[in-house]
Amino acid sequence: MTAGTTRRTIGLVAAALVLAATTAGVAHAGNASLKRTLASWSHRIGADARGIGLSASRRHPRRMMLRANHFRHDALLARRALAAQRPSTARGWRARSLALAAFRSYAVVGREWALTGAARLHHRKLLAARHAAVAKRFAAKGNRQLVAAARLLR
Amino acid sequence: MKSNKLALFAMLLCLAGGLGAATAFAGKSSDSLQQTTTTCSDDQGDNEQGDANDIAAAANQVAKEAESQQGDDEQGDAQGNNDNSDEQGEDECGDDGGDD
Repeated sequence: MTAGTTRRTIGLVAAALVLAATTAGVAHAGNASLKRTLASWSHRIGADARGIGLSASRRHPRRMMLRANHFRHDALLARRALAAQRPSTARGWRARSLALAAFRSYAVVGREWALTGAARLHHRKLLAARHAAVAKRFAAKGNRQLVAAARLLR
Repeated sequence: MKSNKLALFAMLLCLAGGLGAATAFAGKSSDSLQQTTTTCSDDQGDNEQGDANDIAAAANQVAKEAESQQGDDEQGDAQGNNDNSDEQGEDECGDDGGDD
């Protein structure tokens, strides 16, 4: 092996090592960022939901309606934040799709809760119960998707 | 020609080694990141489950109240129109979800 070939080999090896380290680093950053975003928005929307539950239990439909609109707004913001994420693995992309679907379901939940509050304010009990039932169904769906997304990112 | 093949083989070997090392390094930094975030919560992996439980509980509460024949607390509801001091979701750790 000549000195020139050896130098070229060392150069190529160094370049390959740098490339490998960079690729792995970027891959990790993509999924970690998605995980943080999901945890942050999930926490936020969970807190919104606790407030809505309290307003409902205290029979405050107007406040519940306002909070429900806020919940919906947060769900849409979460979707936007998650859509901006670029996971680095196929598992990460799957988690991202599930998370987007979860927050889409939560946006529907928020709308239905707001409609429940509005119906109650107008003393339309049957309509309120119908909207609440739809919200419950979408909440269960969103929860399944959220938990599945988080599990994929563990 | 033979030395070129040898160089190529050595490069591939190093590339595989480099990938392994980088992956291990990434895994290690992932662990430390998780430790940082868990200072704010019990278990990062279970946070979403807890939030999902909160949403399910709220959905049950709303449905229960919607089906209830009891009248609304209109006076309490009308109080503090601009009171958003109890706004949920801003506190990243330990919010307790007060309503009024």
